[in-house]
Amino acid sequence: MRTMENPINMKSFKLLLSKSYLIIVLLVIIGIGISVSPFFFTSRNANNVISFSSIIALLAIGQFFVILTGGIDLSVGAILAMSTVISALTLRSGLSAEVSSVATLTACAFVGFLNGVLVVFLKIPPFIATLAMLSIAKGTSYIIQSTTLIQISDQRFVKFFATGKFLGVPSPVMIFIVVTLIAWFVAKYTDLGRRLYALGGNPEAARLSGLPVQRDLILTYTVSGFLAGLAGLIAAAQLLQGSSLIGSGYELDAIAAVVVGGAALMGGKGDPLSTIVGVFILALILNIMNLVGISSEPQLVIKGAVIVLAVYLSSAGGVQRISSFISRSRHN
Amino acid sequence: MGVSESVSDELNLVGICKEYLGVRALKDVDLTIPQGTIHALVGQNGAGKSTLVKILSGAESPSSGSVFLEGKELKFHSPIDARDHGIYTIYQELSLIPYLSVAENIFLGELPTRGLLLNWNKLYEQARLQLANLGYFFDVKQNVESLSIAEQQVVELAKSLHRKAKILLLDEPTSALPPPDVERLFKILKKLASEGMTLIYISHRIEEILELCDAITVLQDGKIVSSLQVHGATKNDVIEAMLPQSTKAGHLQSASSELRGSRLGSGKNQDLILSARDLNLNEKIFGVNFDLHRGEVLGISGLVGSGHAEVASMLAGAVKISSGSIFLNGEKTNFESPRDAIEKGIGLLPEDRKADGFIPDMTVTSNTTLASLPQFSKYRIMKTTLENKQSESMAQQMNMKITSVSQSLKTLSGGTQQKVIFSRWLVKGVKILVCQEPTRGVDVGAKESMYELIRTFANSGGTVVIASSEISEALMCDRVLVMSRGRLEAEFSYDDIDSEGKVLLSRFG
Repeated sequence: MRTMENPINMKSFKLLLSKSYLIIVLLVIIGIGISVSPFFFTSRNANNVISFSSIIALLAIGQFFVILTGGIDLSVGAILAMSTVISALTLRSGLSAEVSSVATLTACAFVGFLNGVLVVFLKIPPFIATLAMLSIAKGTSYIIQSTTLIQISDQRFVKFFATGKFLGVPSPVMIFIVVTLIAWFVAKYTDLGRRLYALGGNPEAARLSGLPVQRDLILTYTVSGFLAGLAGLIAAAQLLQGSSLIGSGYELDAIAAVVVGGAALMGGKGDPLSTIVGVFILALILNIMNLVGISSEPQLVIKGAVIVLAVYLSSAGGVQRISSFISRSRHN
Repeated sequence: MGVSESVSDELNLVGICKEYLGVRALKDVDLTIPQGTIHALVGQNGAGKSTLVKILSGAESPSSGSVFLEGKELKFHSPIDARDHGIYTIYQELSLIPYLSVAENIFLGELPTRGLLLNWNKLYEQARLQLANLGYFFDVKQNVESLSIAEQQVVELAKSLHRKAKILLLDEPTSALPPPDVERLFKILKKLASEGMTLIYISHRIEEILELCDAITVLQDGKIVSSLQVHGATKNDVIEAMLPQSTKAGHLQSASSELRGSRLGSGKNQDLILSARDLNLNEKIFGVNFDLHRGEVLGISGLVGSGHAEVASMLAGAVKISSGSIFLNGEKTNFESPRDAIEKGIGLLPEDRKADGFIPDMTVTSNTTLASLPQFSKYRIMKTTLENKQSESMAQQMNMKITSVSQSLKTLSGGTQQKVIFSRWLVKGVKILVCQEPTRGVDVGAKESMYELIRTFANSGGTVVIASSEISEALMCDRVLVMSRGRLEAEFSYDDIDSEGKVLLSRFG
């Protein structure tokens, strides 16, 4: 005999599960980390993970807005590399840290802007447009760097983007926190955020409602380029060099984080905070595997499996299936 | 029902019912079509034609009832299944593969082989033979994409012949054909029928039905409302049979007043607000001229594909006009995008609500204020309280069936979704509302409340354009333009139209 379960309890349980599942996954991973390595839960390790994550997090925030509109940006890793090269070059030529940073960010935002123009006016699918831009940005940075790498010795630059502290927080972390808060605010509370969700949810309905669809799309790619440039400044300051080899493959890490954070590649769904949780889920898994001494090749395999699992849980209705499985086993 | 009576050569439908999530699409459809005849299936959008076609072609199964062919009951599990039983459908959007040759398309799935390789010579030879059977002799090696629509249809027909189709379903095959090709197609269809094939022909064009078909069945609201033999019938008889029947009126009640829904506009046409001059859209719309007055409800009617929907899209900036001009309050305007039109006070209620009308994952509130974001934000920050208040008052005013304004649109019924889109334009305060098929896919109750909303809007000084292929809707407008094959065919004022809309239907051609 089946007994009637209290439907309200079940419903709220399901709702809770689907809302907080990302946090639960994060906590489970932290739990695993604590149990497998005594070094995991130390402030030094936490610092490592967060500093390492800042770069990917910035890329992922930019990527999130692009994916929110239903697009994708494959060029962010290459733009990051370009950013390190331009900043290293301009610093070497004697420009101040401020001028160098502003010039670098402007150039990177411009590359993002070009992505937007390709997508909006030439109607090239985002995947292809940004793939082409990946190649162009990478080639350009290789050409302008002309040697294998350029050292960075400007201490103010390094301090501002890597070693310094604001209010006791390492500067890369501070930058990432500020950017995340702005992104969260824009997505949730501004008209721009509303327009981007509408654009991703149904582009034709957004257009017919008179939203400036083309302008917003270009803006989104520009922001993604800008944030990739900002991430590049941090990378350059951390590594004390500019090189076209930095950051290759980072675009995939950023996309993975956005998707693990529950955004739909079709657009219209997700939020920046979940994206950040996605970044940390992936970073912690990597960190734990490093701590227990798994070599880098099996790490890749496990990372891939985690992405599949996470996406299945968040978008393929996995959470619902699991909760209905739980309710069934409780009935029996 | 005599299931296993004598073996006949007929196609028999017995008591076919179909429900989608509690909505009745077909009810008790009984239909007998003798072998070797051409049978016309007519009815308005949503009358159930396409559902019936889907059932016959195996794309859907009936909720109850059965299909018999030559006395044997048929049960399909897929369109392929239906094809294997000799039922072949040619849809409006042809299902050929553009980058394969004519011959490959005809024999796809059963290409003649020699060992592991294709036997090209045999393939081309057989393809030529199939085309010759239909009286056509074009190159079978060329890719389908280089063919005209008429030739592509011939390829589809050749495909069905090769598959030994017994029943051929044709869904408005002439909607994209120039007249000489139509005649040639009819010759072929008649020949096929005389050779024993049974054809089910879906069309609105009375002339065509008179020329081609043996019998007509009219569907309305999922039921067969009339059938007649074409032989000996006049054009008037056919029009009579096709007219919408009042569902409640018995046949003795000559309830003409009930047939015609109450008028949407006040009839007080004041000053000119918009005029369209020589509107053209590539290959679709040719030289359309008309005027629109403040407070008027203007209907643009015509068959599906006649261009009425395109004219509406052009007015609202959703489609860019190829040439011609629109004058708004005497001033020449050129809409580059819907945004331009909205700025000038023109809003669009699109035909395909799901694809073009709303953001499914967004709330009622967000969908309501979507066109008026600047009005609901300050320093770029959304004023959510104000938004919700506005949305709640619209929901109350329009009697929306919702539990809260934070419900997402995808969870609501078609009628409520349509009301939300309507409210978007009321909140925006548009002067001209362009509606494409405003009541398509909404239930009867919601239909009436849509009309009431339009009435209220027009009474308060708003101007409405309704592009519709439903006669009953055109009958309610102050003035009606009839479109046919991309051209403006006729114009009638409310009082010049008979209560059944015969004059409109006779110009649909």
